[in-house]
Amino acid sequence: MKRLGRISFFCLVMLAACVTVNIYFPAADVQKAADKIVDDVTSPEPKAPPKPDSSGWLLKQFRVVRNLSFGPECAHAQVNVNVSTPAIRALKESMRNDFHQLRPYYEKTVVGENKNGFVEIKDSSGLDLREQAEVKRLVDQINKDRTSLYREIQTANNYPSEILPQIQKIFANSWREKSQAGWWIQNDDGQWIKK
Amino acid sequence: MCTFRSPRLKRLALFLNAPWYRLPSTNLLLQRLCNTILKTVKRRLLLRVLAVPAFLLLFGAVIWLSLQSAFIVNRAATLAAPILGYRVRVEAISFSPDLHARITGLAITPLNDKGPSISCVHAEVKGTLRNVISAEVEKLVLTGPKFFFRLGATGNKSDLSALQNLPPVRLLLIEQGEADISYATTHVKLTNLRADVKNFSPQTGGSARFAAVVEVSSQGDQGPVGHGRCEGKVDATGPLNKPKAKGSVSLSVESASIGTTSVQNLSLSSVFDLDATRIVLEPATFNVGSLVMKGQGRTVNVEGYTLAARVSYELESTGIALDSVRGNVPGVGPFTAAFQGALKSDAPWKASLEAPSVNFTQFFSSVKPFLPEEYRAWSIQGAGALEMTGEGPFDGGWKADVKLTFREGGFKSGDESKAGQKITGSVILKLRSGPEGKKTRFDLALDASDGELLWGNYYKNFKDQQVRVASQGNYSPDEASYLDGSGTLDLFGTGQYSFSGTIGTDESVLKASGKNLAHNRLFSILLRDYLHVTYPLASSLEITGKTDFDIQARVKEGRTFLEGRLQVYETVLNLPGLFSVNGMTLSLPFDLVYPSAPAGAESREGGEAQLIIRKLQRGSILVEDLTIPFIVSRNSLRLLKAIDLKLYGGEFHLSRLEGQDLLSADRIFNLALSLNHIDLALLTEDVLGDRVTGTINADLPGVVFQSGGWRSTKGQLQAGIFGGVVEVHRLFGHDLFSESRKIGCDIFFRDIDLERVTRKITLGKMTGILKGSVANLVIEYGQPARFFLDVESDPTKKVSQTISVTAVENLSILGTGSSAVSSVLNSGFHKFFKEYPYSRIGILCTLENDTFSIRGKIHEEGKEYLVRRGWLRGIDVIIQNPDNSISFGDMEERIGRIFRAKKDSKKVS
Repeated sequence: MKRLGRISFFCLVMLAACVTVNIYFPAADVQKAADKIVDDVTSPEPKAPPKPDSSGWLLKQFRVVRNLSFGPECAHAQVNVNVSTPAIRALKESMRNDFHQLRPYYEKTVVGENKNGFVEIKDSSGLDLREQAEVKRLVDQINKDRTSLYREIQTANNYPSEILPQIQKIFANSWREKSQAGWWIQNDDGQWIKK
Repeated sequence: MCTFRSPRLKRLALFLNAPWYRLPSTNLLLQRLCNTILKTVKRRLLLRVLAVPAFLLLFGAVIWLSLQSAFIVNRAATLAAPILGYRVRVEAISFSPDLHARITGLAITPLNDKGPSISCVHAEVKGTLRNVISAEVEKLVLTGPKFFFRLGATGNKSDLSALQNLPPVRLLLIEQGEADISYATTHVKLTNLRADVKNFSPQTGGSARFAAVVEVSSQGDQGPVGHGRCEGKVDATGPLNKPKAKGSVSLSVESASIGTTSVQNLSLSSVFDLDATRIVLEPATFNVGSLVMKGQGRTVNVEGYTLAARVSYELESTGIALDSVRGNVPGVGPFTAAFQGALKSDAPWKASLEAPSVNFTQFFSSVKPFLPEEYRAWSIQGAGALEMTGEGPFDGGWKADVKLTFREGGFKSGDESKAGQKITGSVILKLRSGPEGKKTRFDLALDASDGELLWGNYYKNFKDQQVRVASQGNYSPDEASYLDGSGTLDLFGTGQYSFSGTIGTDESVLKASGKNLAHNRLFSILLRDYLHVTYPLASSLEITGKTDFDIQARVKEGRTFLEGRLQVYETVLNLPGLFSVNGMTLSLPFDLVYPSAPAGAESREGGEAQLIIRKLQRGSILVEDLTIPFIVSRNSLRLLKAIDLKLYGGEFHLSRLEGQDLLSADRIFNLALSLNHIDLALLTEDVLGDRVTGTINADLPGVVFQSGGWRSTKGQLQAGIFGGVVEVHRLFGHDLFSESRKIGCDIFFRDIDLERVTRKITLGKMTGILKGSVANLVIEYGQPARFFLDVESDPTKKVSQTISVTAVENLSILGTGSSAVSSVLNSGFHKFFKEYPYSRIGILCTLENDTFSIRGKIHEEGKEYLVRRGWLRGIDVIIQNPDNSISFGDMEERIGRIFRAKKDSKKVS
């Protein structure tokens, strides 16, 4: 009986120790936010830059701190995930420019979207070294921006850092979903296929 | 007259016919006596003549009968063994009168275990009487014989000298034979051995043909194993100890291996000519279908080796020569070669090789497994030619010259981030061994031109550019410093570079220096194109001047100690439209260590460095005759004298600059900064393009730079502006020169004349005095990311406090996004008033997570006011929806509306 009591006590202690911490992660909202960002970045027609005007000093100073590049007006996302901070806006703008420069290489199946939410060079053997350097530079820049974007979404929404891989995963879905037919994408099993 | 057959009788007759015998007195007596004697002698002779054949017949019968008995033969062989040196045993034997012997179970073993041993299931010997008389064998047929040989330098080596005692054999047939040849732990087994030997004699040779299946096996895993077939023919003349022979031999191996190396489909065939002085193999051909080498996780697979040569070996002089060598090795391609040498003690040799069509891609694939793991994924391209010559004794004093020319050369790393292509050049390597072979001198000349280079994001086409390296040195594998050398480098004609050094097991020292390095060539050749893509603005930099440097890197106990001097002369930097620097010189002695370590006995205080700039201009900033003394030593940087500049009408003072751990990622810089009477109008005009009157003073005694960011830990920046004072505290910044730059601070202001502010920002005229703060201001990517603005009027100053209708309208737009109030204020009784008095202004604005909100600070009667009216009249601006929050984009749009409206109204008027 004494032994049985000890075992029961041990089991109770173990049960008490098995605390599960559930972190709420609005995956659906993040997916919507990701889709919107990816849409903004990959949409074929770049948005027209704001018209320059010589308005007052205050606006001018705003523009100075914004490096004379007040971005296009951003509507607040219709989701519960904050996807519009200065960093995210700047990153989107940067990614948009780089994405459109990289688009020909998507079409030549030189690069593709991997399962982790990043661009990957698949096969650059058909390019000369100058083009390879350009692809490498663009891919590095885009991936750097994407890394910053995922982290910015995580911090702007006060998600714990453990959530970061999920954010990347969700964005990976969006990037692959928005890829066009014939582009390389990597499925979740790690295999590369042409969409 | 009688005749005598026997010589004895003849001599006797002659004696009797002597002159004295013919005397009359003695003649008769003697004649009788003689006849008697002759009769006796003839009788004995007759008996003897009859006895010899009888004896021979009897002896032959005994021998014949003996040869029918295995027992007797074995006994006789046992008795004869000490004389023969072999022990012979038979199981059964039959010997027919026609001299045809059949033997079963023949076994011949050496007494001393040093000779070859033979066992044979069945043997037949045929001969004739003549063969017997001449001690030779007419025909010997061995069926199922097994030969056992032991070879090698051990005491068990087979003694083959007994072969010289073999009788001549007119025809030897070996059927279904086996030979077991042992060498150390290796056994070569020939099975299904068939051979016919004709007219063999140890003295005159003979001719032979043979064929067998070869099986090689070894004890352990490292010995040779394999199987195949061999066949050949030999025509020998002369004695065995001085053989002369011609013939051919071929060996085909289906598969074989030794250790971790295996071959498939190897074949070796040759015609040979052996005489007393030399052996000649011509032509000797050697083919390897595939060669596989494995080890340490590496596998090399090479297919299609071929080699043909004339090989001669001089027996007396031990000279060996390979002439007319022609081969084809994957990667090296077809080649011709020659070799001459001797196997004497000093082993002199001379060799040459020419391969006019080297394929570097294939060649690199072959040697790739021998490279360190990180380089095995690399690839090499290009074609070229290889020439090699060498001569000398093996044990020292040899020399070798190697010349490799290449065209369309290139390389690519496994991840394709590094690559080069279309490179043309040559490598010439001369090796000279010391007299005892302990030190080898090398002389290396490398020449490369043209080509394109990709290194990460860096790309450059070096068409018509050239790199040359010339290096000499010594390699001494037995010494602690096993490699030493020196050389020169011509890098695209940018200056004179030289280097020297020693590499040792305990310590390595490398020295490099550059003289007259032309900045304009370095920049235009190495950087301009790259910057044109990555930082287009910087690509238009114009730079002149020269640099010298001397650097010594000493690697010891896992640390690298760097010492040297950098000297920059009369340099001009000009980035049109941005800045220009003239007359810049730098003298920078330094001593550093990596990884960082506390200063110890190894380090010492370095010399003084000095940066001199004769003239620096950026916009309206002009700095002349600036001298900055400092020290870079022991991984730290220290400013020896404060930097004082005249800046925007004021003074800039930088002092106490110290940097620690310069080679570490955690390097940290501390400094003190002060600004005195900086003219804000000049500063804002230069930076913002608009003049804002005021002055700036700053005292920041603790500014820290670390990990790409900086922060002020103590002190403040103070600006006199709009009649009041603005204090900036806790300034910080990060990645200031990147797109993601981030700056932040806390701002406190007081006594700000609202009329002067609104005159400047044209928000709408307001009068009064303001005070407040902007806390936690952060600007990221050039956009406000966060702030908390708290501003209120200061009633203690007893000045007029009014707000214009325009200002009310604009505040309304900012607060609500609506300009509806405009119609109220511009209608009815109100339209006669352009401004209203107020008693208080209190506004709170926050921007957080891109959400902007504006709130009133004045709470009365349940209402939240931005502006509270005066005592008798005035206007209240009330926040009706305190929860109203808008995005930063909306706020931006509202500000835009305010100023667009103003601009439009100006146009209308």
